[in-house]
Amino acid sequence: MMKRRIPTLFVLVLLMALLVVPVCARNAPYVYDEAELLTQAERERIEETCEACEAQYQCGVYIVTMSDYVGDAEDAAEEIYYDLDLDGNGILLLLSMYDRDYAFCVQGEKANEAFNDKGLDLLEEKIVPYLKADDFSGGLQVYADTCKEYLKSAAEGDPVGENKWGAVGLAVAISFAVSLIVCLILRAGMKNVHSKTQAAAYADRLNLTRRIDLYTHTTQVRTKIETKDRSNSNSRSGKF
Amino acid sequence: MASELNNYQCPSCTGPLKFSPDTGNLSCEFCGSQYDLAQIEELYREKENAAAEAAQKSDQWDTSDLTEDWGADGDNMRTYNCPSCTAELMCEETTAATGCPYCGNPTVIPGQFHGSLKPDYVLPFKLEKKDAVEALKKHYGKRFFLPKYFKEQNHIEKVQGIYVPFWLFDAEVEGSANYKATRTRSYREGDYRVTDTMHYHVNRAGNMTFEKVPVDASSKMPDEHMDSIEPFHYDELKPFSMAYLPGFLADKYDVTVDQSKSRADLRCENTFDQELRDTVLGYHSVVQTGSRKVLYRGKVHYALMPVWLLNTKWNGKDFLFAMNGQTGKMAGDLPVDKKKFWGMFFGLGAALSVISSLLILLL
Repeated sequence: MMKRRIPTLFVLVLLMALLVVPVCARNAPYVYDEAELLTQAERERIEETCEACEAQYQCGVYIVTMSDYVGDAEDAAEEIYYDLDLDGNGILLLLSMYDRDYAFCVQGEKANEAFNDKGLDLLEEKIVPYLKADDFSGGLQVYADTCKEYLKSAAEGDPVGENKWGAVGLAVAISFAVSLIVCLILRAGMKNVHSKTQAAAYADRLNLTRRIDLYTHTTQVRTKIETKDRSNSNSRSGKF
Repeated sequence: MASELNNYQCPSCTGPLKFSPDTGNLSCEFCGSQYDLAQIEELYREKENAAAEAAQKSDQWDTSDLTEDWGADGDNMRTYNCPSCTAELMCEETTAATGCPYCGNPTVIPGQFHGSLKPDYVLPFKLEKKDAVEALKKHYGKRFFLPKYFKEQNHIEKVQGIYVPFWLFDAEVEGSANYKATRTRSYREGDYRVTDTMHYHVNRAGNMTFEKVPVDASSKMPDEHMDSIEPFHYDELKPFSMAYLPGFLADKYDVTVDQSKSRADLRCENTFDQELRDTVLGYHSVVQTGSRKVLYRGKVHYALMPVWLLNTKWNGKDFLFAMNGQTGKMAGDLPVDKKKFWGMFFGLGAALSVISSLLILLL
């Protein structure tokens, strides 16, 4: 997924465009269609849905299309998210047309709750068929609608894809395992008849006649420390 | 055979004398007189000699048609007459001291020891029957899985103080062992977590002396029970004397030294291995890679050890408990109430499930 091609002037243009966009989030665009995949009407319709998401659920839903990007798709999506100075809570979908890559970047606690791993799986399943069929308008509209639906579910305390019943099942299994361990420990206390295999009570102290501790060599293991804060950030990428 | 029978009667009132764990003397239950062991032993040596002479001189009925051949049944049995009430009693061949079920007279059967080794030592009883019963109640304790009716319905059927024969093995173990050991340290270096593992070759050698490692020499006594009531403290060990036996059962050995030595060997070698291993300190991991041991077998002593045996029956099943007659350490497996076990399993499991599920659903 690593790319080394020089990007287009997209980011530069995007940043310059941002300078003239009011800082207020509500007035900023939600769709950055640099690859010109959408008509004006399609873009406005999608913008409307995205705006509704932020207004109702305080979570931004963003779309960025471009012809190419630098490096890893997920890193690029994350970089654009920060470069665009988007809201703390939000989801960004990046489409790159050169290699037909897509990437999601989810930022913030609320967004991560709504767009968890399972939720992103379902989101991918929904939109990738549209993108593969070059129906970008349909795919991006489905993306915006689905994001709204997910945010609604999360606001109601039942995030899509979060299988609480699976966690409950696991908790029940662990509870009964703990119960079994406690019961077996108590039952073991009912038996105190055992063969003796040692005789320390009848022995003098060990008379140690030789003690050698010889250093031989050292081995070293180096592990990269993961600096990315995974708790409030999630990403996903693929091809269409 | 009856002429070989000894018990100890009070020189004052002829009541039966019993060894008293409290005072270490023989005491009369009827007149309360107390006698030193040596004094009574001397008195009875004279009495035995006189009785033997009298038996030779007395006329006998013609019993030539009677046979002493008991066949296979007689191999393990012995008969004798109670010197107090003259009842003819039978007991197992290995029983050396018992009590008369008719008059309760404590009896020592010295003839039982004839033809076999004389014990070197005896460890006198320090605890009495009531202590054993109390210890059993304490052993029941507040164990949750003990059937509710076990304590109420079960009756201690038999409480017997028994001098159990033990072989005591002296030994020395000498040897060495090799280990692979590691120490680790972890630190951060830039964006990396670095773990250094220092490897060591460790060697230890030494020797260890064992004194009187006990192995029970009675096939009737369950080995695990006898192991479980250890240790015995040998500072109270006495040279053997019959005078300690009245009032208790006493067995003689029927498991030979050869049959017992493998257990003693194993215990000595295992202890040496563990003690050597315990000297390898300051490492995060230690793995033994090899060892060499030589066991020098020393003297074997024959001793009688004090054990209280308590038999109970519950739901048609026998339960055996053994208590160290010196230290009071009790050993015996208790029954488990299956309903309680499964009840607790499902009850606790359900309670934990509800709490954890609520936490997941609400948070």
